[in-house]
Amino acid sequence: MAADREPVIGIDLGTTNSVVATVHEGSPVVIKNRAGQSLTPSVVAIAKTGKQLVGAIAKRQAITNAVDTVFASKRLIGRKFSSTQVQEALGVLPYRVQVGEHDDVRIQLADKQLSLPEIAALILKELKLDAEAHFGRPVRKAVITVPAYFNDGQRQATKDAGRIAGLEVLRIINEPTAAALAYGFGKSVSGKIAVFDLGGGTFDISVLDVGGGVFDVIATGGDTYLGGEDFDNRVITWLAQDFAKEHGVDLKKDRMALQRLKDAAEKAKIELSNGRETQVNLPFISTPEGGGAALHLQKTLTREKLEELCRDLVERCIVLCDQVLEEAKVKPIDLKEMILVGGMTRMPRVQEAVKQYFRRDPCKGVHPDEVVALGAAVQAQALTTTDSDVVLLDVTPQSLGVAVAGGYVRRLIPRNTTVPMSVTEAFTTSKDNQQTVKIMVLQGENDVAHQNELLGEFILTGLREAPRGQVNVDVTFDVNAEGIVSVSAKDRETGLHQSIQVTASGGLTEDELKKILDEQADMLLEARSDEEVKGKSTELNALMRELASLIPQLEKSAKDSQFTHDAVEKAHQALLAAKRALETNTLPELTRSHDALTRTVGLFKGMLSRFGGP
Amino acid sequence: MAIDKGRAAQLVDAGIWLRLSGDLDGARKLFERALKLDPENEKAKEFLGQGAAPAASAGATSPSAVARQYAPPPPGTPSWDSVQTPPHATVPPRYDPVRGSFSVSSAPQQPESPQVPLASPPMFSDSAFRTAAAASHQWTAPASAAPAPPSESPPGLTPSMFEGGGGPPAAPPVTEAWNYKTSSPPKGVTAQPSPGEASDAWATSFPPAPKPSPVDPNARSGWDRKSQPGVKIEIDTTQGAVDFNLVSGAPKVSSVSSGTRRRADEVAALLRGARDLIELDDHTGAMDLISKAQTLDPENAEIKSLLARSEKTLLTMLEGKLGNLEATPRVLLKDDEIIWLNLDHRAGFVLAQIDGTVTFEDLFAVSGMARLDTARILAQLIEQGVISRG
Repeated sequence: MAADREPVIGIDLGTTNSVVATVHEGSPVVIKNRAGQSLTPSVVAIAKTGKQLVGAIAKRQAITNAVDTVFASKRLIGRKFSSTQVQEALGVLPYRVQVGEHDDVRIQLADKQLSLPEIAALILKELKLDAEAHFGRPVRKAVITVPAYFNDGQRQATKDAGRIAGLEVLRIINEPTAAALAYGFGKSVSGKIAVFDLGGGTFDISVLDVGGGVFDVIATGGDTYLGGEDFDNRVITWLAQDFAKEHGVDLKKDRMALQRLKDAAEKAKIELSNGRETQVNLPFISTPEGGGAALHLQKTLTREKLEELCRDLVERCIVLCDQVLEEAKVKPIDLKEMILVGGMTRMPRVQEAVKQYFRRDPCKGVHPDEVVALGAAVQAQALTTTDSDVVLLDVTPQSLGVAVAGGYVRRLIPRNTTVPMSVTEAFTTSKDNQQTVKIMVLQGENDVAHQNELLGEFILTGLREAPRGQVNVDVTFDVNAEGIVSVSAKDRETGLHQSIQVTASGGLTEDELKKILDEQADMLLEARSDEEVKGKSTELNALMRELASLIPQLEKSAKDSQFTHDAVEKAHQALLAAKRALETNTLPELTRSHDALTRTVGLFKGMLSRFGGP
Repeated sequence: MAIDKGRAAQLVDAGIWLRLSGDLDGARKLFERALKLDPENEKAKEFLGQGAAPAASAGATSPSAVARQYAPPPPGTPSWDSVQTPPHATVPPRYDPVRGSFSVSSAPQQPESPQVPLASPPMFSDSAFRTAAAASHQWTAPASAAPAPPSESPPGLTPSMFEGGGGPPAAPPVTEAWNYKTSSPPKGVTAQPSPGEASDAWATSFPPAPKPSPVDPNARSGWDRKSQPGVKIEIDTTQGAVDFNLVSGAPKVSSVSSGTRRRADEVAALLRGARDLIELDDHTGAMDLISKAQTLDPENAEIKSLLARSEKTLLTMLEGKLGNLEATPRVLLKDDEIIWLNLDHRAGFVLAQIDGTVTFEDLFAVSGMARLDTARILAQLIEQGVISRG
């Protein structure tokens, strides 16, 4: 990238971890965070000290401060509170999930109620800051990835999150598409490829048909509650049970101990991807009830044991692969390539199982944790340069249609249709003398109407009275380049028509979003002001120390002088005033005092040089 | 002069509280102040007299020294604790970073080594501390489970603390169990007053316990068999004590129960001690007393205010010990050295978070504990050479 070109980034906003990448000199590279890590945990918290935490630091206290630590918020973003997925999640999430005004999901974090886009924005903002630290200048443009199964609402919520974070979201792309892009399949491969994505919290298996710059996700499936954390939990349980047997203490009941167990289990699991065995060493993990010396946990975990503990989890992944391939009517042998995504795919047993099922070696060369972000960076680069040969068309993520008699759906626009596009289809009345028709716009892949997402509805009235099937109504779907869907219905005979414009909602109204953005701007100003106050306080403290050290020097150099006596007296008064200014902690007071002390220090230095002091 | 004596007695009272909770340095300050007010105060003299024993060094130690101190004793080395104290009679670990260290009365003592283990408290009087621990054992030990006198007197143990001298008493004076953190001091505390001390505040606050006597199989008193089996109450008839008379009519009930009045007195005594300690800049000791007072009177505004003041000052002091809070501390010991430290699980948790990537401020946020508690642990770990300042 040319040095003067505005930097653009690709973001893999994951359920468990997030990664940011860019294209540097023609190659996609991951931007490490300020702690030097490629992965930033998608965790947000308000610590008991009131401090806002994002990333690894928030993850460290996820168990000890469970109520005010939000993780896996991606499972909730853009969903309705009343949806099955959210209701199921309520039972397992330790943080406070609440219902918003529009049946959207809100999270109570300390004394604040935040929307899901705001939570995601905190993570995106952290990644943005990492990128800015990398480039040394502001970053404004990004491509963000989402799972292939995300509907328009979820995608819009992700876009809103980007906006709140101060990013212009150039495009939202599917994670498997990004993974394929990272391998350059848009250019070199034409045919079907599979993307096996086993991350920290979710498992996705997708089959793509690649060709001519179009990445058609022909089937996707998986389990949003199957990931690396389940593997960790098996290790945790094994460690805790053994400890309970030996010492009669249940470590799972002690939050501090459980936090350490969790960290250690994850570490051990990662180590066993390369080694055959690892030591779990947790000194002082528990103090027995009634006092006494703290107990240590020391245990050896072998790769064989880990595989034994997690055998069924790996098997479940393969069962899901089978289901998705069957749905796509694709046999493993038909696949051109196989891509592994997600940290858990580094586990040797997972790799073996995948190889056995797909009967081929997976693609190598790109880190499975980073591949999605790298693909997003490639796409971001392509969207901001004219010389890029990667063409990725915007497509509808899910099918669009209308509800028809019997409670079914008639799809007018299939998923993965490139946009902009328009389609019209004729419908007739289903009852005799029917004068009105209700048009319900649905999104989804299910044939049963109520299993799809209702995007909007309207009624066309004034139809002429006639036996059923005699009145024709043309329904037209228009999807523009921004993904905005317009639906109209027109009575062919009378010319009467009604229409509706559907904009995907991420849960926040435009007014709410504007309010959040305004608050952000105010907070930014406040932060800048705080920084100024802090800076001025530091300078004032330094001046106070300097003046305090000059006073005895002056007294020593010219102790008999009345002038010295007066000067010292004034210096003491100035120091007292400075102390008061520090207590007020306001910029005008600090500035006033700073100026006064600067003058006094200058005066003292002048006097000292005159009296022959240092 | 009488006021001074009374005040001195109160100071001794508070000092004993502190000593029992492990703050020996704070206790010493109070005893010294009491002696200034009342140079004749026997109790203060007694406690300070033991302080003449040379205090063992409990300062920061090098990692290698720590490892040496915590090296397991050679096989066959008799365990000091196993001889001296029953296992259930340990004093809970106490943490005092401003002056000292993690302290556990039952911490592994290594008589063969002149070094004091890392976890030992900074003792102004090693012997006094042990004696206090021994005293607590007396309160908790059942009459039949009196610790056998050690075959050899351990170094630093001052026999004069016990009645009759020559080592711990053969039998505990009181058989009831007592938790120094949650309840009032047992009568056993005053079971060995020096003659002539009956008028001081200590004695009046906590009336002398009845003298225990050996189990009398023929005891007739209902008390002997129920509430205090095996202990016969002796009544000193020479001092005018008489048998109970029959009471005619219901006893008078005063508006303030004696329990409430006693609690109010206790709170007042604790607060006086706390204020004294604050004047002496011993905020750790003051916090102990204030916390104790708060358990007795949770809604007391003065207690809350004092607590907030001491907490703030203590936090400032502790944070001062940490230095730059944005610095990143590092662990200086190896894993096999760490396990020989004497830490509790909370300190273990904080230590486990220190991996060279988190700052002190981060640690305050991730610890899940109050800032003051985290600061205490961190200051302690620094003082003991376990972690660096960054």
